[in-house]
Amino acid sequence: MPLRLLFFLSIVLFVSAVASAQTVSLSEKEVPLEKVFREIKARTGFEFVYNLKTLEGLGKVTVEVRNVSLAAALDACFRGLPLTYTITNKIVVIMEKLTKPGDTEKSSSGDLEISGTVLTEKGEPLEGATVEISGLNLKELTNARGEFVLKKARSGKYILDITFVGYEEYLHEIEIKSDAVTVAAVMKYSTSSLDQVQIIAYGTTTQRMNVGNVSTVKAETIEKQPVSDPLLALQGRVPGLSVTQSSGLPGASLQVQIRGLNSISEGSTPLFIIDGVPYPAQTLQSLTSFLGGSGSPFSFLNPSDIESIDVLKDASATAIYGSQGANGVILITTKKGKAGQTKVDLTVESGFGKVPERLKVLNTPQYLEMRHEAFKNDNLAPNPSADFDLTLWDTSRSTDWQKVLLGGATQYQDFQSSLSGGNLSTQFLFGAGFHRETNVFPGDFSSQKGSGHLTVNNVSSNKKFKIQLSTMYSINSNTLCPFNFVQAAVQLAPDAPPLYKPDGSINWEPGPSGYSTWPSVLGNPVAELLNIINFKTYDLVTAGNVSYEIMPGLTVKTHAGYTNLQSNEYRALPFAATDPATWATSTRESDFSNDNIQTWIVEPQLSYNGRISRGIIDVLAGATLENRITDGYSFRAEGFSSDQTMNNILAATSLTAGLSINSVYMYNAGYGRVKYNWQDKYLIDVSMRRDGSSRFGPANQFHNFYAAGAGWLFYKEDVFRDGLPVLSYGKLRASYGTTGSDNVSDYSYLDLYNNITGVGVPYQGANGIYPSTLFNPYLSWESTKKLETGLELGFLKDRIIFKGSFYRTISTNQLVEYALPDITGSQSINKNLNAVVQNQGEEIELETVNVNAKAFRWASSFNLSINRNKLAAGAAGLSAIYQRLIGHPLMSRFLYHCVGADPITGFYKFSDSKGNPTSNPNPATDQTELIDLNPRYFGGLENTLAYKTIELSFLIQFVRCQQAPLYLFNIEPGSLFSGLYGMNQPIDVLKRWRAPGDVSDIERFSETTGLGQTINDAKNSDLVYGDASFIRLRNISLNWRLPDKWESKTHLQHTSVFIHGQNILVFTKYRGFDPEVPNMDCSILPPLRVITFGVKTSL
Amino acid sequence: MKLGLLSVCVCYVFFPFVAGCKKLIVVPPPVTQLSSDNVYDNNSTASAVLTGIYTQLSGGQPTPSGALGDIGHISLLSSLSADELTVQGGNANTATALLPYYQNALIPGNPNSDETTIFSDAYRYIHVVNLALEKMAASKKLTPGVRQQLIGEAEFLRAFFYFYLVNLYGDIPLTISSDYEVNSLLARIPQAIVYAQIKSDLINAQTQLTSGYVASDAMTATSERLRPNKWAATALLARIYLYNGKYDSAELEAGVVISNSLYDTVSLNGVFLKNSKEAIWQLQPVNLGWNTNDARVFALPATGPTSNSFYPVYLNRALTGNFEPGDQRRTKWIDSVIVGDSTYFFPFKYKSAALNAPVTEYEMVLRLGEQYLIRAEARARENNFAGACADLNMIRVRAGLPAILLNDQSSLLSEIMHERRVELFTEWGQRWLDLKRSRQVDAVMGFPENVCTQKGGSWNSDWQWYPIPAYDLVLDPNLKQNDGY
Repeated sequence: MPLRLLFFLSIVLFVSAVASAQTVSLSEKEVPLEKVFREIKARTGFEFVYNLKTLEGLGKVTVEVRNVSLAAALDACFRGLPLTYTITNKIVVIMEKLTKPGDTEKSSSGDLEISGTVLTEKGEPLEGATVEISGLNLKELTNARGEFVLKKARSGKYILDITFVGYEEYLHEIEIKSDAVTVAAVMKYSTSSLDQVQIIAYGTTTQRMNVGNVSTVKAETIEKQPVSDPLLALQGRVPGLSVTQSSGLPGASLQVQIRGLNSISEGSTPLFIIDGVPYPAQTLQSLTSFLGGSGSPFSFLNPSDIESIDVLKDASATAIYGSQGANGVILITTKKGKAGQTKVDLTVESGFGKVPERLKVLNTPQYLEMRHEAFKNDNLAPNPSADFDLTLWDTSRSTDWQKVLLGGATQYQDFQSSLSGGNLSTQFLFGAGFHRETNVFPGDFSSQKGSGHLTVNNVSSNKKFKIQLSTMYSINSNTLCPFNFVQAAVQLAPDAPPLYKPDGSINWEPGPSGYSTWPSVLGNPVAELLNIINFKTYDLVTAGNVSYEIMPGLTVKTHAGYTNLQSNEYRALPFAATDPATWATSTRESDFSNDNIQTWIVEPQLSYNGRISRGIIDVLAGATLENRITDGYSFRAEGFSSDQTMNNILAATSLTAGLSINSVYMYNAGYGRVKYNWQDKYLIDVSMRRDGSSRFGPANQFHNFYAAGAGWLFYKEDVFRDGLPVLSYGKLRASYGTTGSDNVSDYSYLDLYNNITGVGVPYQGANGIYPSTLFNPYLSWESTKKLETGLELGFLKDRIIFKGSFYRTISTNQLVEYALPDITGSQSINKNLNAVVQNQGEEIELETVNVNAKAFRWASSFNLSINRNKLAAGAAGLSAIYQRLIGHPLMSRFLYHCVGADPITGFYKFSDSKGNPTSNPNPATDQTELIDLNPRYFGGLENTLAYKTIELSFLIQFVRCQQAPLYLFNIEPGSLFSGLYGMNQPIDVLKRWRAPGDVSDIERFSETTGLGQTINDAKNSDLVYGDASFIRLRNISLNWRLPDKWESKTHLQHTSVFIHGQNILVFTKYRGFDPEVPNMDCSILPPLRVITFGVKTSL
Repeated sequence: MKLGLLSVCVCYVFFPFVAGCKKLIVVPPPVTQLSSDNVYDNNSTASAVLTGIYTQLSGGQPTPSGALGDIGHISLLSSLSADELTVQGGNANTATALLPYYQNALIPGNPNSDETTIFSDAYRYIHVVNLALEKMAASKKLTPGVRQQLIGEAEFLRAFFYFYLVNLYGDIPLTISSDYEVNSLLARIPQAIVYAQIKSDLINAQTQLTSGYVASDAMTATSERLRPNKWAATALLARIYLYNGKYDSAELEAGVVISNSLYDTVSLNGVFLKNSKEAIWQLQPVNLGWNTNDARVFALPATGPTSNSFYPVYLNRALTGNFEPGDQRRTKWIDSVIVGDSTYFFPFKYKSAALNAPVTEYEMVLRLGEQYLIRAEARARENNFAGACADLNMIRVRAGLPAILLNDQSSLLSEIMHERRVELFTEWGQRWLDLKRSRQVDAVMGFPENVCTQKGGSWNSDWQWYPIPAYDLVLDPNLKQNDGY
């Protein structure tokens, strides 16, 4: 066997000289090679890199050496084995000996050959890496075993340049003499964020090579935030993306918007895709409204199962999603197993959450002053059968209801475990998680989530056949109290009775009539605890990929997926929770609902990857078949004879149908994309899609979408390389294209016939039907044209990275309810109008490594988004509200200007259109103040400080210049609103008008709701809108990785302990609970301040 | 070269998917809702469309909840506009809503408000009927007999709604197709053209409709007089001819109904009972536990009228004083309550107003009594005084009044008009329409009778027509408002 000599690069030789200076002693008998490597590693600190297959079938070895060089020790080990090694930078690479037919060492022409192998740090061969010697004009790609051969080399000194996406560039000088050269190159993973893998539509890329605009949030960022909904982990981190939660309750719905509102009436919900499978952005229905609509379906996912969330924004990134891509696309990718030893990861986290702030409301003396003054102002006396707060209740009491009802702490518990491992051909990961959160309210309500996750990957031995499967399943149980404790906490009079009687039973505090004197809408809050609500959700997401490489570069692939989101809800209102005096005239009722959203998708694809001239071309063609079936129903059962049987519908005397939904959505598309990369300098990306959707009228079911993008990595140009060495990265990119939005409900083009509801006795015993909508065969997509340009720069070896982008999106063909005269038989039709909505803005990102010393590292990342939204053009048929907003942001409104209380009468006055004060403003002409509810700019700043193994990071999120309704009053201060509420008021009302001559913003106290008109006008005035800008310490995370020596003793690896905090502090001038959930009567739970402690370890 | 080959390959693999797109996104019609594509493929759903109209005509709240009423409230609203009913004053919503009708002071609603009106209701039903007629004409899956009956019902209903539109609003837009793009730009056309359409619809309906009564399947014979039949179309046609001065035709059509053995006069207390022999077309009550809405609104409890949604009106003295002595309708069809010093008279044609009372009465839309009065008037116009008196006496004698014999046209006509007033009061606006077609409206509402002033308003001849909703005027540039608004 001809043993070829190994030639090393100069640096390699230097390293091996160092290595040889270090001596090793080994005494191993009949042990596997891996054990020898471990021994050597323990004694010398050298890492061993090898392909697992290389060692397969080599049996055991016996080594007996004393104080020899590392090289000599290795030679001894490998005696008789078909192995060779190279040593680079304290890394020993083990390879199979190259055996090549024929002798190319000495070519008659004098041409020499440079051959070699390119491996990763883990010893896996790197396929497709570019190996180049520019001095010789030689360039080649490595094969599946990581090998390359450069022929026709000449002697001399050259720079060998090896590049591969995601790895640092490998640059080494080689000297070629008279012999052929063999090289072993170990490529280091790039730690630059520019080379992190980004998931894009039907593929992956990196920030460096991406022509489109994609932001990526990785698992490590998600993991350090104690949130149960993974989308909440994106808050403040992604430029252009705003995520707002509708309340602080676990599972509350979210508003997710990428680059502003594109649509007048169809919302701006992005397309969500999990492992290639479209995921519903909304659950179907809920019996309560406390989750803000029906809740967020993303809260059913386990954040720990997620590897990355990628936000696709511009045309180049989203046009391939055609009619679903206009509002941006969010790709969620789950974790996959990695080759290596089987390991177990465990994380345990627990903590608590609190309502961060209390509102300042009136105490009893102030409250009584308000009420008595109100009666005095109105020349009325308290009514003993309604004004119990003055006539019956003990007015010496003063209860802080916020403390009683919202003062509790939630428990936060999270447990995650995963088992992963595999070899080069098969990898697996099995994860299981449990999450539990309770409420701040009294009582025992919680949201619990149990989840499992399994992925398996397999590659055939010839690497041509690949299979990937992943499945996630979660069971969620949310026991929400069907009662708004927040409203009660804010609005209950401070002298309201105690919740319990001394004997521990519920205090109904009956009045003279025998009925409870608690306000009828709020009731006794603790009685409401006896109401039952149970929201159970079963969520399955499963996806699979099969691909086969027909010939080099040409791969056929099929992706298929299925999601099933099923929810059952049960709500019971037992008598125990209602005033005993009403039992005789009321019935027990319980509600049931059942919903199911099933989606399947099949996407056959053909891709080609190869070289054309000096560039690499990537071609993708595919088709999508998608089907979504939504069905659900709800019904109410009444007349139970006992509280105990309310879950048994057989015990009810009457059942009433609520909703009945059943719809099918079908979607079909063909798409293609061509990417061309010319020498990693010039990038071109063209994509198109032809779409068909069942949501549109027969005349307009198909449409074409396209996008083109280009990128210029100008830092690779010699001008910049030589002239501006401080510039380590620079890219200019631009893209333009069209996308669409089919965010409309199913069948909306049809003239649907509904059953006539509310009919007690069917006419002639038959149900009548009527057409509820008009048929519109032309109903079509909202179309969005996106233009984007971007500049990305890296300085000082990418220690400073700047990314700036400018975009403009123009959305036309707006889908609206077009008003029709009655004579058409319908008041409106769903129709596309030529109104234009424009969003234009800039996004800036800055990542810096401020300090990078041996023991201390400080890195920052900053993002800023500025968006200007406007209704750029109206169209005939647009409603008057929007006609008025032309030229203004869609999320803005015209309001009265309130000039405060009239100094003489004390009632509110407003400016009319001519600026004169009036107490009866005209809604058609006098609403002149424009209030913009959009933030003008928002963003985040994260700092990460690491000292040895302690890491501290904190994220500050800011949202500036947005206006929102303030907590000022919901009804006129002093009244009880017909006894429905016990209206306590914010402390600001004490500044009210009291006597003629007083100048005040707050009108006189009044008991009678008959004065409601000025209050209603005031609620539509600038008086109750104010600045809701805020700066929030959104997240703080302190992580300490235990020292290695502790780990070796306990057999644990990578053990850390951590403290995580969410929503720690907020700085705002906003009056109310929290500017994120602005509302006038403060009846929404604000985002909670959550602090958790945990341990993470691996076995 | 290579790329060319590749693209051929790509096209070959994906062509079937892309080419087959159309089929792949064709979804079946929704399962929980029907659409025009499948409603008219099936006897029972096609029939349910018209059942839906009857249901809505009969259902709803007994009094209008919004500012203006819907078409089921014609009896209430038109009687208020005329001299039949008085509204109980007060601040409650119902009283506020009824007062403009009562004082003949209607105001077109605010632009863009979505209030329900007789106008929008009628056009909504007309749209349904137009759509149904278009789709049924094309449908091949309906049983021929069912299709024929349903087409007849639809045509009858279109005529019925246009009759009320043209009599309440004057000139109106005529929509006879379901094309909203055409309809949304229509202008008003003269009443005569609308009447021509009504007439042609009814003549056509006569040929399509069955001569018996059918059940909800539009096929099975039944004794329930709840769907219009051939005689309902004939009866309405007789009324149309009368209104248009075609007295010979009116006499002929009314005579056809009168001579039909299905119908007969019955005693006063039996007229409004369900399926009485007097009934040509009735509406079945659909509110659970209740008889007719008319009974719920009109039949006052011992506590008298209120300004709330129940019992907001009572009879105008002008009507109660108009009965001849001995007229049994005064006692059998009118009742009264005494509250304090006041006596309130109220219509008592429908007597069953208690919750959960068994359903004994159906809401009468077309009845034989009117046909006698139509023929009497037609004969009087044709100088057949004996015939006219014979018909008139059928009604008078039933009411316990002596037969009369008049030989002078004008006194006979005024006697017939009086008879119509005491026979048909608070029924589907008969009095309000009679006042207008006989051109007595100004004399009665204004000088010399001054009913409007007595009601607290001031009369203007323009106000015999209700206003077109402002909402429509904004959206249809070709639509003009009635004079005086």
